[in-house]
Order: sequence, then structure tokens, then C-alpha cells
Amino acid sequence: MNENQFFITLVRHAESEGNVRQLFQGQDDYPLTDRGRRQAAALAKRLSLEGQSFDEVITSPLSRARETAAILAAALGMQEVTDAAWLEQDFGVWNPRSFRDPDFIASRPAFFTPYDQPGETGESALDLYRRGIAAVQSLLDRRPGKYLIVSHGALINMVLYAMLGIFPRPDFEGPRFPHANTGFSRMAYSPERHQWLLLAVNDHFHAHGI
Amino acid sequence: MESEAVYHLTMLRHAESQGNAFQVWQGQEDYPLTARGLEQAQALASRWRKEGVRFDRLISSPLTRAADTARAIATVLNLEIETHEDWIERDNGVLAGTHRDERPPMPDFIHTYMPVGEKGESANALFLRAGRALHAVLDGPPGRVLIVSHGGILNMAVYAVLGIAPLAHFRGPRFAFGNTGFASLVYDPLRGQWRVIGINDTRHLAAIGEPPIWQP
Repeated sequence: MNENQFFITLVRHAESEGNVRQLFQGQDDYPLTDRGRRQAAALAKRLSLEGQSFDEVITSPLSRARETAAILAAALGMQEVTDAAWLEQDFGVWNPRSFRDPDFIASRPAFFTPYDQPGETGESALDLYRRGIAAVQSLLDRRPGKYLIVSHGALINMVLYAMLGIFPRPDFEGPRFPHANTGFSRMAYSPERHQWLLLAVNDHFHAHGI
Repeated sequence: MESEAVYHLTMLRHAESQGNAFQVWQGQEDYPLTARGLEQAQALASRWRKEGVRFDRLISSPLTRAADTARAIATVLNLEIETHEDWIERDNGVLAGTHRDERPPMPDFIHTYMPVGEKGESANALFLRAGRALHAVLDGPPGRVLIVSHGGILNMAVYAVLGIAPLAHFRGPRFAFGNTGFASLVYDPLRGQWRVIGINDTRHLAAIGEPPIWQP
């Protein structure tokens, strides 16, 4: 790693009560489940065993991310920093419905442009994309170094879009980067070449069998 | 909802070759695997056997480093190898098999239509070939397809999947592929959607004592 490089690890939060109930969580707040706490502890143990170190641990303010980050930061002997840049997508009135709810599925519009707001008042794909770009910018405005970030599935996808130069497509048809609870993606940025090197996507083998 | 008829593509970079060990830019020069490379391929084969991974097809580049990696896996998983020229590594012209210290000076700026190494493939030529190679796989039936190939062409195949166009002078995103590192991609033709399940998975290398390559 050279001194100008940014080395970024993006972690999706551990399992929350909202995940178990298969809800649109969005910006609603749910605590981790016990299983979620075990997943976070497994990742914390892995980071320690592999001797991984970070200059800063940053987290979304929502409990499911903050609790995950606190478990990781404690194992690293650090204190997490909260930053609203890493909040999940606002799903408007879809919160706190279940995405399995047949009434919801029946009432969902058949086609979404990237400008349409989910749940009437939620963030459109482009709103979220703009936040993904802002989140990347907020990292690159810091000094080069190693950053561990705990965030959410939909935002992490848009952060990856922003890094790779992918634009949102209608009806959520663009490529997806599904992340398991505590799955992480990792990338290095070299400013002198404006090059993002994608090192891992959704690495979650520490959580197998939990 | 995921439909039944999806394509699961596993894009695997070959194991360590003698060219890798000499740190040369191999291109289409042919090098055998090193002893360590063979161990890497066998470690991956036994990992997949333990995990119960199955493939319907195995497609390999014709170069020895890919074909020998494919054979180590085919033997354990009982597969037939289909060789396909389009998955061969980038033609890098006069740079084939050269070490960084012995290369002629590069042009100051290499635009995306300019051949590398005077007569090799341009970035766009490589991108188009990767698109054609991918298209040929998707012309076949849905199922689980293992592709054994090379870092340069696999990067362009991932570009084709994600809808990224090549940038000049080796800029633009890169996708890490360590030796025997693989990307897992799923295509659902009913939605026209790709899912990236993993990039550069090299977990099996821990079994032969190699550290994760993504550590800084």
C-alpha cells in the first residue's frame, strides 16, 4: 500500500430484528438480534486474527450499524465515529412493511424510473446514487489511509456504482451486489491513476454456520 | 423473484505460472504452472469437492497455465474441458513475456483504440472480444459454467457484465484476480439482471499457507 492510497472496507451491518421480520427497514431503527451480535463478533475476531488495522471506523447512525461497528471497534481498540452519510435508503411509507407482504407486492408500481420515489416519499434511485457519490467524496476528502465503514445494503450498492462508474437503471435492473449480514467489500483507490481496485465483494466466510 | 433458468458463471484466473513467478507480462506467451501453482489448483479443486460445488460446463483458454488449472479441477470434479479461443489472454504484442525492466519505452498516452506493444490488442479490441466470449456462453443453455482464463480478459468480461467501458492508459476500475481467485456472477435473463456474488475469492489458499492477497 503506498502512502497516497485509500484502502476501504465496506461492511453491511449484522442481522437485525427488521431483517428477521423481512421488513423494509430503511431509516427505521432496529436493534441487532443475538445472532447478529455473534456475526459481528465473528468478523471482529477475523479482523484481529488477520492482523487488520484501520485508521478510522465510521458508521451509519442507525442502531443495527452502530452496534455492529461498536463490536468491531472494541476488538480493534478503537472508537467508532457516526456519520449520517452512511444511512440506508429512505423507503417512505413502505416502512415498516414486509417486502413479502402480498398486498405490498400487488400495490407496487409495475415500472420504476430512476426518478420515481419508492413509498411515495422515499428516496429515488438517483437520490440514493447522489448520496453514494457524496459518501465516496466524504472518504476521499479525508487523508489517505485505511477506513472501516459499517453501512447498509442499498447504500453500499450505490457506493459501488459511484466507484465503478455505473449509472442506475430503470426498475432496479442494474447490476446488484448483494451483501450478507457482516459481508464486506473492499477496494483500494490510487488517486494518481484515478483507479479503483476492487479486492473483494461480499466476503462473509466468517459468518458461515452462525 | 429469481427465475429457475439463470446462468451462474464462475470466472477463474489460472494458478501461478512460471511467467508469474518471473514477474513477466505474459500475454499470449505460453508458460506451464509452477509446483506452487499446481498446489493452488488442487487446493481449489478439493475445496469445491468438499463444498459440493457442481458445474455443468467447464470452458478454458487454450494456454497451458489455464488448461492445466482446468485439468486439475476437471479431474476432481469429473468434468470435460471445452477449449475456447476467445478466453485467451490479451495479445500484448512485442511486450509478450517481458519483464518491467526490459520493456521498450511505452507511449506517453495509450488511448483505447491503440494496440499495446505495437501490434497487440487495444483496450477496445479486448473489451469486444470479452463481450463476444460472454455472449457465446449466454447463447448456450442456463446452468453453472466455470470459465478458466486470465486476468486481463477477465477484467474486460466483468466490465461487459457491469456495463463499464474501457478507459485510456490503463485507467478505470480494476477487479483483482489472484492466482486461482474467482468471481461469481449470476445472470437472470427474465430480468436482464446481473448479480455479483463475489470477486477474487481465494479462500482455499489459506489451506496451503498463503495469506489473503487483499491485505495492504
